[in-house]
Amino acid sequence: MQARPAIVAGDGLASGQRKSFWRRLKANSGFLFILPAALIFTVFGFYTVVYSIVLSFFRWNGFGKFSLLPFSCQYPACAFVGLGNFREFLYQEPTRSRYFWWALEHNIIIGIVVTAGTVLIALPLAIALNRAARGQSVYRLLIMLPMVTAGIAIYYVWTFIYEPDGLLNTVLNSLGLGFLQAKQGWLGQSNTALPALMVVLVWSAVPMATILYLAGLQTIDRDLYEAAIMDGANPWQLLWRITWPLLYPVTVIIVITSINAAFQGYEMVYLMTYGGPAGHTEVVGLQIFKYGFGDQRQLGMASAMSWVLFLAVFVVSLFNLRIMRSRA
Amino acid sequence: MWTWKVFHVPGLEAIAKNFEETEGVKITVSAFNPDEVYRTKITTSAQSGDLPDVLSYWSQGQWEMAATDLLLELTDQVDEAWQNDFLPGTFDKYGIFSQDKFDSCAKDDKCTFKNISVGQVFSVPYLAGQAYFVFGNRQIISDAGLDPNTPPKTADEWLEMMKTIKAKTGVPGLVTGVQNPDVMHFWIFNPLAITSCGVETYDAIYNGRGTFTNPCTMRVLDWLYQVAKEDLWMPGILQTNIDPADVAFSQGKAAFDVGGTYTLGFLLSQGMDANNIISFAVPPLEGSVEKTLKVSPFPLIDAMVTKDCKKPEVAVKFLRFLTSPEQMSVFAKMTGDLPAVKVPADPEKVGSTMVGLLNALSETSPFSESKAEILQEPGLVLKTGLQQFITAETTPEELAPKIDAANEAAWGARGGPKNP
Repeated sequence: MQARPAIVAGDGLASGQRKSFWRRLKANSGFLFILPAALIFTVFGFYTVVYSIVLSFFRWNGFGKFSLLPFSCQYPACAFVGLGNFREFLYQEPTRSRYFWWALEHNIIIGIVVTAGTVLIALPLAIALNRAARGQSVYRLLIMLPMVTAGIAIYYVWTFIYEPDGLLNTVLNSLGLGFLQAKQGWLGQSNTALPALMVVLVWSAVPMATILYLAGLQTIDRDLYEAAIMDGANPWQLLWRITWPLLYPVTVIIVITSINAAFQGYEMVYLMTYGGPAGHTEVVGLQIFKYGFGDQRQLGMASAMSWVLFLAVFVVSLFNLRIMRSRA
Repeated sequence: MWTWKVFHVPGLEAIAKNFEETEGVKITVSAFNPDEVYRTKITTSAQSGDLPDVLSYWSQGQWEMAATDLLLELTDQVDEAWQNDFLPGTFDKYGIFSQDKFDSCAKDDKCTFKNISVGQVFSVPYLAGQAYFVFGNRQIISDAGLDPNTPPKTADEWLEMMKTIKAKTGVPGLVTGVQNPDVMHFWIFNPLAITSCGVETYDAIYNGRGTFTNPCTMRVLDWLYQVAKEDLWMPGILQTNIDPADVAFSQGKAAFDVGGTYTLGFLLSQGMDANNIISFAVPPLEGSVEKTLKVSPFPLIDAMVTKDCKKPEVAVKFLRFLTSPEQMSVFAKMTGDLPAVKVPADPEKVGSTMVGLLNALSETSPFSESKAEILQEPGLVLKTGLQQFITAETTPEELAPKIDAANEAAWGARGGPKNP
């Protein structure tokens, strides 16, 4: 009999613990939901990021052993070089560093021009679409077309357009503007290759930006416009004083994603010019690709360059975010 | 067996089938392309231990793999009889780790095969080839009032021919895959430079003991500058890669196409009439040290056995079978590519295109004697500069000192110029 209360008490304790466990589990169930994603990120995201950081301090051709867990670096295919990779392309080796900074310069130009071009085209388009009384869905579909078309096909189509006997030169000639033609093709001349590439980049970035602006415009309270009109505001003032400030958050997203794409993307350059003519469209992403997967097989150098590129994108994005937020 | 050349698969499969009939062992051939995908596939498979038994790889790339213990050593396996099957200048010059290569590697901090010893062998070449061939369109040359049966003896004559053709027919003189920066450097600049300077001076210049401002290299730069200045390249040349260049030539968009042993087969596959094509080696400039350019084969693709192969003796037997003259004849006839093995110059066995190629090749060439080491950094400056002739951004006088500066810095980082 004496044991009974103990058992009851024990049951009560166990039951209480169970209840408390379930209560705690319920309260923290959010963590359970993110656990699978967190595990996947740890293995495929975090580990690879750490791997890449560590690799940037090594010289490795990809053949010998290089692993973090357990750590292994098989000489002579792999060797610790400290900051040697960074030094080499940043300033130490004159040829490599000159080509790296030249490529970064192209990235910066692309980042500025494509971002500005995208915003300048997408915003008026979105405003016009927002005002369209009829056929809005048809217009949206038309604007979205570049986004849903396969990239590789688009790049080839643009390459054909830019050829010496391509569509652009033919149209210019038929309009009596033959003097504007690029005789070596728009991608084959040093003065036109980068602008021609940027046109394609803007063309492919505008649809998403337009849709984002359109969504932003539809959240702006109409009363603000009506009040401003009653106060005598003209269309330019409506745009500059109401629409543009209220669309800052959208602009921030567009600017950051556009800069990110401009710095990290290289597929279009790879497919359309391979960095030519004479290096005039070379971008850092393409150099990383050539170091890592070309015949040079310098994976450590490619990693180091990737981290410098990441740092550049991070600083620019942070700077942007700060400015845009403070203005918003 | 893995390869990255999809159009080699039927030829390799035919050999694998013959091997199965002889030895009772089945070999499966798989292709992964393009080049970058193949390189990545091998890198990841090497890490996970999933390499195939037999691997095809770019010649000279075997040393990096061998240094990490991925390949079976074949030093004692490739006996004299086997060695005699290879074309001169292929296995003997590039398949055996040489003293010269050892010395260069020892001096270079970045060399990743310092543990390979002189005399070691890890692979055998099965595909050879060489650039430096010019193909001409007989019809266009005739239309310009020139004799297509008399190929130019010098590069200067060739330049004049191109000018005449452009003036009389309006057809541009020259096309080749200029978008690929290696093409102008390796296919045009180097053959002109080695003949213009002679092997000794050519080696000295590249190996950091000479200068690109040497009159013999300046003449070559001037020649390439003239081609650009006279507007003799096909329009859009900087947008044109190797295959599109050959296609353009086959369509009559240029009078001459610079290519290699692999180009003729491609031109014929594009429907070009063999009788409408003339071919000759890149002609030397007037006053060159070498009066003609002899072209000898260079190994392009090697076959190797991986260390994890379960039946290495069978794999080695397959390599021997693969590189036998009989099987390589089968391969040559099916692919139209030049084997690294002595195959009979018999149209019945190897096809008529191959016979023409075999007859055009010499046993030696200045390149097979050369010990020049072309470093990446000066190579990059030179390649970009040659393209800048076309974009009119530089001149030979501006370019040569820049290449010298890059070459000096690159050799400086490797402990000084390469000894003769």
